[in-house]
Amino acid sequence: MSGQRNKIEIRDLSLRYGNDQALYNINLDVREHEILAIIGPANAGKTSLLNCINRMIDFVPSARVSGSIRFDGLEVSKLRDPAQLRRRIGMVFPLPVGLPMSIYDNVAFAPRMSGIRSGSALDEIVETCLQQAALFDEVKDRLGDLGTKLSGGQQQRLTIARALSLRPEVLCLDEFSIAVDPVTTMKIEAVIKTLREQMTVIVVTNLVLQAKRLADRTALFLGGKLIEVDDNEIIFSRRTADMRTFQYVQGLFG
Amino acid sequence: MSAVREQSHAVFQATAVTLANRSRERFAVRVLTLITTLLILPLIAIISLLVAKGAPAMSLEFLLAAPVAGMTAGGIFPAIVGTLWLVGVSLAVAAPIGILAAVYLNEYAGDNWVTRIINLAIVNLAGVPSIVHALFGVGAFVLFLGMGTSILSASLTLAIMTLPVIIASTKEALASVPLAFREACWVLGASRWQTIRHVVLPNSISGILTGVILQVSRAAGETAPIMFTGAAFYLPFLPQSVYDQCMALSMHLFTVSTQVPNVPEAIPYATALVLLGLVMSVNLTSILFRSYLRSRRKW
Amino acid sequence: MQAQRSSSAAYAEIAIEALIRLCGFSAILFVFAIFFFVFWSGADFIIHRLDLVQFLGSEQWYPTSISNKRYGTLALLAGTASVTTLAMLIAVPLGLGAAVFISEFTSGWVKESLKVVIELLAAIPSVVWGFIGIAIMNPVIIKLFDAPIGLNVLNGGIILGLMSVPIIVSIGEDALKAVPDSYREASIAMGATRWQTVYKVLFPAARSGLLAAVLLGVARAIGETIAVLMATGHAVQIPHSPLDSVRTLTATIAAELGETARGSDHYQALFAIGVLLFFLTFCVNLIADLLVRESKRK
Repeated sequence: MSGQRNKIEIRDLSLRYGNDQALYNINLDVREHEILAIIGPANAGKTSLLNCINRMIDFVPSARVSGSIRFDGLEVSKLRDPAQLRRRIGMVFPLPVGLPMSIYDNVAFAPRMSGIRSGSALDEIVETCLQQAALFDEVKDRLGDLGTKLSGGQQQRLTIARALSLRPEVLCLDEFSIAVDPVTTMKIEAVIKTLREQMTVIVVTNLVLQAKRLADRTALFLGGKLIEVDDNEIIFSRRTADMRTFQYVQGLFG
Repeated sequence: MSAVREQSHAVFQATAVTLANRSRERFAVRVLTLITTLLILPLIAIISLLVAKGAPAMSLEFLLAAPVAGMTAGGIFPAIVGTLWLVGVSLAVAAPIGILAAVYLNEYAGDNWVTRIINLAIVNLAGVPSIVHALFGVGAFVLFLGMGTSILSASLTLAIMTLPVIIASTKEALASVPLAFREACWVLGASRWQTIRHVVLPNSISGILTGVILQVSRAAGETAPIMFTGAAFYLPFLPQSVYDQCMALSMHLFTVSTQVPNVPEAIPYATALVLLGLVMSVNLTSILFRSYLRSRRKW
Repeated sequence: MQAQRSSSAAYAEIAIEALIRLCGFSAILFVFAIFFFVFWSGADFIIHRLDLVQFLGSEQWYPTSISNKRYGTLALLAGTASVTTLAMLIAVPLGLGAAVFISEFTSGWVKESLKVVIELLAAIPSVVWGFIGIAIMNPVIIKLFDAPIGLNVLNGGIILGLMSVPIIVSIGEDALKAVPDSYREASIAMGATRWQTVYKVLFPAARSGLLAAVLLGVARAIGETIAVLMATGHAVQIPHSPLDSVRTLTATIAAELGETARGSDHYQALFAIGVLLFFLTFCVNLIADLLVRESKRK
């Protein structure tokens, strides 16, 4: 079902913020064209892991990263221009952030910043991405309106459209449904399923059932450690390698 | 912890709410109200006195004519022109430096000792007496750089003196743009500068303008820094370039109220009224602008 | 699909970021430059001929005497100290009182308009204050106290006090605002009156910030030039009563710099006073800054 090539290979990744260790020796592969869910309670290190992958961790002065992350075989920490990397990895934050500019400009922002100037090319990107994010029909008549004035659910889909605007190879969604109503959540989940044809998707969620619905494989994080990663059939069964996975999935703690 | 204990101790005493406590509270509030009124009073008194005594001399001619008869008659036109020169040139220097310095402090600087020293330097730049700024202007611009007593020397002195005003308000304006906007841009592969240029600055420009307006009001009112660097008591001609000296409203008020004998009372009052009116209206503009901005945020 | 940003755009970005850094560091540069040029302009005199004991310990300031030149600043220091002290006697209770009133006993539009009033008070140029000292306060003081002249410590002190109030109010209000609301709520909930809350809870909690506000007011008063030049008279003497005229350090520079020959000892002695003022305000500001930092850390 999923491609066998590894898109991202994480080896012995540790992360400290000052004296607090956030990640302990993580070893994890993300396969091309799969949907990988990362589950775990708050402060398990899920978001920190995403921030290491696209090097947003650079903006946290106290953070110290060790170990290796390879993206398409390239060592992430050695890249001279992390912005280049971030253009290949789309990222959606938990809380929707519409930039204070028009809906059109929100989606066209990243392509413009990367040097695309042609108006027709931008028009096409904006329409495609809004459509992919299942937002186009709702906003097609008011692309000039402020992105910040949309409803929360619409802003979250706008954020997804923005993340898709550079045709990323990997899309990371960090608890995207936290500030979104159930109907929008279902819409976005449907979108994610169609996207896996074109890209690799990592979904961080604290909703176990969402991981079960969406993902091919699921990884459980607890207290900065990777407890278990496996196909969904294993994770959501009685055959988990680690007792805690079974207990967490059953809702016995977390 | 000890603060908490002290506090609970204080609270314990206070639980016995007595009539004495209540009346003490009423008394305290009355005193505080009186004190605050005492601050509003001089403001009203000053403005109304200047208006009452300056208004008779105020006319279009006063604003548009040059002083004559050893400054005991005529108008203040050259002083108004000079003040505009000084404010304009100092603004042109201080605004870009101040805004970029604030961008550095808010967007680039880490929380380390270098930043602490920069902030301390800014506090001191604001705290150095204006006459010491004047000495600096004389030593550095007039003499060392050979600019002579000129609009340029005086404006540069004013610019450095008012830099902290622009830096402080620009920093505040930049800090009011949520961090989430910056993160949303970085994550899309935009560089720090692209993020600043396309998202942070456009969304704080109005707050920055408020600070720039405040700088104008400060620069227009200063006297000491321009006394020895470029402002003259009296000039028979208007300045033609930044290398000329100029008259200035503040300097003119100083001159007619202390240096020239037999000036009719109305002239210094009217001059003070014009200067105060200019500074106050600029300040009020800035204040109104600020409250208008707060009412219409884009987020 | 991936368009590359042109290399010229990348270079432009490197250039603008370098410029931003330069401007960021410029404040340090300017403070050093101020010290350097003020010192340098008086260096010859300061290094070779300045008698520090006389400079700080003598009240004889006779820079223009032909036979007996003296460069003692004690009387000028006393002038600055007397005017500043009186100014603080007025400004500290008024300033802190208003800060407490605005911060703790008002809200809504009353609070906003009081802040505007304070801001406008701060905006009055010092030359206008000086003019008020001459034109309004002077005759009033002569009449009230039957004094020979109304340009004296009292006049300068009142003017300077009113000028220092706004900075004390705004910094003091910031300090009170920085005290967490939970302190207030806890105190009120236990039945304390609001005034008890202010002096038993808020004053101790905001102590260092309030002290910083007072110090910044002091620095403002020491450094003020034109207003005191106009309002305090021109007598170089140690005052014995508030009705004596004095001359402050700042006013001396402003009054005499224009009259001296460039490079003369007198001229350089004025720059020496500048250096003294620089250090004086530098120290006061440094202490205030440390206090503000401490109050923020809490």
